[in-house]
Amino acid sequence: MSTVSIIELIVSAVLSAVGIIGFFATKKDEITDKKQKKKHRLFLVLIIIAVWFLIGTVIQIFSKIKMGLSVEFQLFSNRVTFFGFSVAETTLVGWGIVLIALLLSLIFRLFVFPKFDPDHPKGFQNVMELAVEATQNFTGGILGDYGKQVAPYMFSLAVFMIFSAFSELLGFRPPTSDLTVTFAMGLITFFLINYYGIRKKGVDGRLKGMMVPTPIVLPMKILSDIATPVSLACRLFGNMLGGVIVMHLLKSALGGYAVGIPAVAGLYFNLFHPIIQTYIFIILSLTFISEAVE
Amino acid sequence: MNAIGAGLAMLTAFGAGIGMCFATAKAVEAVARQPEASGKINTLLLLGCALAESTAIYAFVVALILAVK
Amino acid sequence: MEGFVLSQAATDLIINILNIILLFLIVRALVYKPVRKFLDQRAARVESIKSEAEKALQKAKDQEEKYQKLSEENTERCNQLLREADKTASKKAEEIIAEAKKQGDDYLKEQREKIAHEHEDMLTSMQDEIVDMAVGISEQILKREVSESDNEKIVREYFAAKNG
Repeated sequence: MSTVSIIELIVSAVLSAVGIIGFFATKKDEITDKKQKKKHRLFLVLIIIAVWFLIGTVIQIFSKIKMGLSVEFQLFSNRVTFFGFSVAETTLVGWGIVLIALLLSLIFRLFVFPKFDPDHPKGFQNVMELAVEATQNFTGGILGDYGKQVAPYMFSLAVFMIFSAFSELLGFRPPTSDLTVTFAMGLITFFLINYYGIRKKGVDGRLKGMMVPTPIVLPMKILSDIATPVSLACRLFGNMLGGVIVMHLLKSALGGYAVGIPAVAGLYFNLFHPIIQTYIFIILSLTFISEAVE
Repeated sequence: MNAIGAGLAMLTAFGAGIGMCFATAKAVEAVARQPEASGKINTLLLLGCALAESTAIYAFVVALILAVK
Repeated sequence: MEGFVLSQAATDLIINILNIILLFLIVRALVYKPVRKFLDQRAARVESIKSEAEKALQKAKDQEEKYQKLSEENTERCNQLLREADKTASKKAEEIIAEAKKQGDDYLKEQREKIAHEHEDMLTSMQDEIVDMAVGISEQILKREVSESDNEKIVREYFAAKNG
């Protein structure tokens, strides 16, 4: 233990004590004066800051976490041995997500759905119905008749992406921040684009659609079609990895003091950002499919 | 050298930022003119921003590939 | 690009694709389809109730139309009946008036004839009486050729007797 950390500990302890004493001292008085009220609130803020500082210092002393802006990161996720096979960590997390989804949906199917009231939905039933109906309307609004067939896939994609965003909170690397996972999603979208395009127009119809102004643009159109899954995958990967890196940087910069602040930042990077990216991935997939179908 | 290359690659973010700024400005104008169409404009704005952002994201990926060894 | 092996990345890609498809199948079979079925059933039920209600409404409308038609017909018939009754009544009244007039005329004629007849009868009976009287008076006069006063007395007596 260095002298600096001892001084920090003493200072934070004293500050918290002062804050607590001041808080209770001002609270005992009849608070009618505006100045007194302000003082009271100031002591509360002081308590929060001092306690945060104290906890941070204690963690800093005992856990040997180093503060600094260095972040160790790999573009591709770590390999782990799983029953003798070398698999990526994100793949393992993906399997975990599928397992959790399987368990949850089995519980829903076996224990929750039979209790559903057919005429008066309430509580959880409302949530499920709203989610399914919203997906249906959303895909139907963009794709029309094919929307009904694509809707369950988009629903499960949203489930996967949101679950993977939450897996970051447990300390794993989220599967969506792995290029292979996002490429898998992009390839499925690519397959769907061509499947519906060929089903609607036939192979020659789809090729003819690519030669719209002149046949010269055909290679470019094919190239842009191939670029679609790459662009989708890279967009999702970059966005999610960016969020993960920012969170890692924040945590490493704060060191032991990373107690309350990353939670606030996590509201954006772990909740809002993944949901927006999910929305964008799904709406872009649907838009590309509808473009192929038209 | 790799770090310098990564930093240069991230200059693309200028373009993406300016493009998104234009898109958002126009969307705000449109909403101010027609508040009842805000839902549709919102969807379109998100889509446009995602597409405009994608250049920056590609640059980010390139920078990552350069920087992360 | 440390840690990148093409074969590993390809296996990961395939595993991930299968993973997502598996998730899709699970979610579709266990969550999406039951809820969808649930919603569809409810929609069908609501639709059936709606169609039933529509049917009932249509029936009520039909009934209303029918009744309206019936009531119109009834009014029409009523009016016709009234008109007919009016017509017959006026006709009958005319007939009655004509008959009454005829009867009155007949009666008047009869009465007149009767009066004329009675008058004649009276005249003849009066003539007869006058003749009888004259004969009686002359007999009295002739019976006793007496003075003028006697004659007068006789006449007076006769009249008195006659009156008495």
